[in-house]
Amino acid sequence: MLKIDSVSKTFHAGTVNEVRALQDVSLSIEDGCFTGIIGTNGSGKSTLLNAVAGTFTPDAGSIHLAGHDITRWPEYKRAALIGRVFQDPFAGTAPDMSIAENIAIAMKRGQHRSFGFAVTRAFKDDVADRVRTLKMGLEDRLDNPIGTLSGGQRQALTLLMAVWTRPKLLLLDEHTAALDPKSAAKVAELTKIIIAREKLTALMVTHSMQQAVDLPDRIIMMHRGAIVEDYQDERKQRVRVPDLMATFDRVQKRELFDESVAGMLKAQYC
Amino acid sequence: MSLVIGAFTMGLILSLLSLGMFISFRMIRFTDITVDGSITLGASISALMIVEGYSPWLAMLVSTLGGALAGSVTGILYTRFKIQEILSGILMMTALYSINLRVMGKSNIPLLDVTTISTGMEGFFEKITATASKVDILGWQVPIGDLAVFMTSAMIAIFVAVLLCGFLFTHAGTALRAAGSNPQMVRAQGVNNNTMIVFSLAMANGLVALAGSLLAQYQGFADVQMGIGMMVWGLASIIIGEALVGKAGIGLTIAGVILGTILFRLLIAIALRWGLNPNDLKLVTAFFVFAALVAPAWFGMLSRKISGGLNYVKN
Amino acid sequence: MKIELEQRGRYLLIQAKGRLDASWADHFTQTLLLQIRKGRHHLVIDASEMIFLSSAGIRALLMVYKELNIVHGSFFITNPTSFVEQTLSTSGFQMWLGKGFPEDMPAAGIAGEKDAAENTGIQGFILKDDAQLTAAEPAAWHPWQAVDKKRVQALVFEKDTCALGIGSAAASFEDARDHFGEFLAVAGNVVYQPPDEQALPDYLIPEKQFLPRMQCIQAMSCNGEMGHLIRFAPTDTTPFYRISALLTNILNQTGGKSAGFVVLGEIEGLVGTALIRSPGRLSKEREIVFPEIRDWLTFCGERSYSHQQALLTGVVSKTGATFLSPMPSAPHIAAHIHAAVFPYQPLPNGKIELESAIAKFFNGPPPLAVMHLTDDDRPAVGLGESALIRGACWFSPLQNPEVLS
Repeated sequence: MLKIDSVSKTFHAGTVNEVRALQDVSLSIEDGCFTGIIGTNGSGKSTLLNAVAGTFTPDAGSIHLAGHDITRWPEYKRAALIGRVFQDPFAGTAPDMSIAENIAIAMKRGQHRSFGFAVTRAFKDDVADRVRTLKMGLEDRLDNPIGTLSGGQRQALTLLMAVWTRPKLLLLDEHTAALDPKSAAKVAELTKIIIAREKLTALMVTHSMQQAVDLPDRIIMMHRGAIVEDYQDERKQRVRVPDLMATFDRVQKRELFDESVAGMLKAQYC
Repeated sequence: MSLVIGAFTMGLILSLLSLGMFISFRMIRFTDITVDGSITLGASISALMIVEGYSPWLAMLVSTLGGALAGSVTGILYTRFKIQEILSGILMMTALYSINLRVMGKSNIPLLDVTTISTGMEGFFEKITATASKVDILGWQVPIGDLAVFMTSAMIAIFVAVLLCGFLFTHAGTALRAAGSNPQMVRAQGVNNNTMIVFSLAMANGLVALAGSLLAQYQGFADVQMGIGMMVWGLASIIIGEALVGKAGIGLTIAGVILGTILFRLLIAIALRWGLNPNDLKLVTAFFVFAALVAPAWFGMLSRKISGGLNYVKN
Repeated sequence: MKIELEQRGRYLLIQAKGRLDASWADHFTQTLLLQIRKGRHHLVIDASEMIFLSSAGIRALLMVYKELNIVHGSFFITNPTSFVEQTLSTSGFQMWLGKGFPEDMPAAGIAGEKDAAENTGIQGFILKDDAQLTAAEPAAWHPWQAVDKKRVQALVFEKDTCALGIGSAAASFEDARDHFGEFLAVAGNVVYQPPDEQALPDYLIPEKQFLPRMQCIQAMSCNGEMGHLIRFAPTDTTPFYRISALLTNILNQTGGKSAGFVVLGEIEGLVGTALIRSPGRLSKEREIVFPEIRDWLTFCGERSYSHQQALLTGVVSKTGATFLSPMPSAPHIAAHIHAAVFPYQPLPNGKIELESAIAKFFNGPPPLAVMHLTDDDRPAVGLGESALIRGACWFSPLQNPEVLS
């Protein structure tokens, strides 16, 4: 279970560029729950994900994952518990290393990296079996440098690498946003299948409301560094894209509702 | 012929420098200036120990460890204290200048009539050739001493190359390569990037110091100035080596780096033979590296300009 | 396919050149529907260069035909190529085929009326010269009074009533308490907005014995017939009509001091507010100020619902009253207007009948929003007042304006 407790983060504090990226955010996610985070640009959705991933340390609050207080853990240490897929399809893999070698690195996530050979015959057979489930024909190209693959293929492999050790939490940071529509649909489908098959706890930031409706079990909506909406259970099942749009609209309307509007309405609302 | 043997031997010794720099510059992409200091460190430690009567093999080992220590410090300056990578290297290199003077106690130590690592090999050759001082190879008379140094260097270079190559295919080595290729990825895969950098720099400078140790024994002296420009030589060798093998796997690239170093030494030997002023050597090398660095971009631009011009004419 | 449009007298000539097939059908339909939306209800399609017509093309023509039927327009296809003629006649659409280019089109549906300025400017009709409305204010909650059972009035909305206010469709006060929101009622139909940010507006349609009924805490109703109708459509100089301009026009036409009105029209932009928390939750009267007010009311924040269709009803008067607020854009008049937004549907031109026009909207796609219109006069950032592009406005003077004061 992931438990985020009153986490705050301000970037460039005390300067003109001060951004209050997270404001007292609390969120807990049950094991096996696939949660989507949506929000406008700068709403703090990616910052929240990065807070969990450990890219920075929050100014206040705590983060617990699977019984560990990981608030102060460095990024690489959290990787023992967390699998990640980034927006940039090139960010999750080492381009000049082969598919098998990349997967070998992922396989040892959270374990001691020994001086034994990384890619053995038996390991490659295992890799081929699991890569075959992607249905991209990559099982025959395990020795090819990953840099020769398309963005969609790389992202699918990154996803496979992220879940290879069955992490306590899978973080997906707009992982289909930089792909062409067809690859994006393919990776989204794989995401759904893999998370369901491995019964993973996952947190996905997405810009696509359709994706938020289609994939996760729960939707969190963020705005200005705070959670403004949380669709769970039957509310999540009911929600459709227009409902999410309406919710965004509502949040924005509330923002535009300032003191001058209140004054105008005082005179006219009767 | 002794010129060729000399260039080969020098090339084999310096290929250890190139391999070390291959780890730092190419594998983890760290512009490590420590090299100029750590090669001298290796030479000074070995010279001192050999003069003091220690086994040359032990001297070599201690030199390697000394280089590794120097590399770690550079790495720690960079990772722990967030000093820029070039500045970290410069700080360590500058510090090493004094350290080397301290180690040697003076600015140079001559190694005359001492036991070096090739002494054993020399004895072996003397035995099989029945005390002849020269052997006949393809019609050339080659001094046994030169041959022994050559063989020893070759053995060490090959041993190190095989070891390095093997290491890079282990779990740890794969992670190291990935750390240079995509730091964000390896962090997400649970690798401590900082540890990787420190470890790689230790390994790289260990090899560089090993090269220094062999160089001192081969040249017959250690000098506090001997490291100047070594980094650029190493870089030039790597560039030549990569050009030789093209885009290839790790094993081939390592072989290429060794061949590149040898080829580079041969070119220098030939140039010197043709009357290149030795004082100009570093300038020429620097210019060569400069050209190798800018040429690809420059040629690309040029060809675009030409084709653009052609299109313009066509239109 | 190349589509060229040319206005010839009262009809629009459409030269459709090329293939009307699956690839072009949608483009063709959209182009023609936009013209219908702009008020061009008589179309002649010149098919002399239409070389191909598939079933997808026929479907496109059928959609245009249906839309024209709704607005009592007309169309025919002239000079068809033999392929088009054969396709249409063998598939049973020969009634669409015509000949030549007419001098002018018949004034369909509005016989007896002058056809001048068919689609532009303001056109007035007198439906019943002496019609008057009887106003009543059966419930008079005022923000932010506490709400108790005594304040609530159960109202039934008859066909000859238009009303607006705050209420709930729940059966009892207890059920209604948490659900009071803005509503409006026209010709027996009610549309109301439950005061929940998530909720969609809901509606009640009179059917057989059923008459819509609301528990109201605030209501103003106008009983009687609508004596006047004005049709408004954009001109070169008047691309849209501000509410204050329409209301001024209403008062001028009736010559009275006050009037009740209903407007159906295409939206240029609406500016308004709505309850998001039921006033039933107020246990005692108090002033609600910023920022708490944001938990009770939502404000549109921008001119909204452009190009959808609005149903407005309200009361306007030259004298202020507690229920009416003065319009900053037209300080001499005060009004209280509620608007319901429906997805766009075309309106026929000319003299149209209120009850059937409204019924069509309530039987079509569901409403999108209900709001209380305001005239946002904030300096610099104000959104201004709501405005409509084209539409119809029915109204009558009030026979008992004293109710307002």
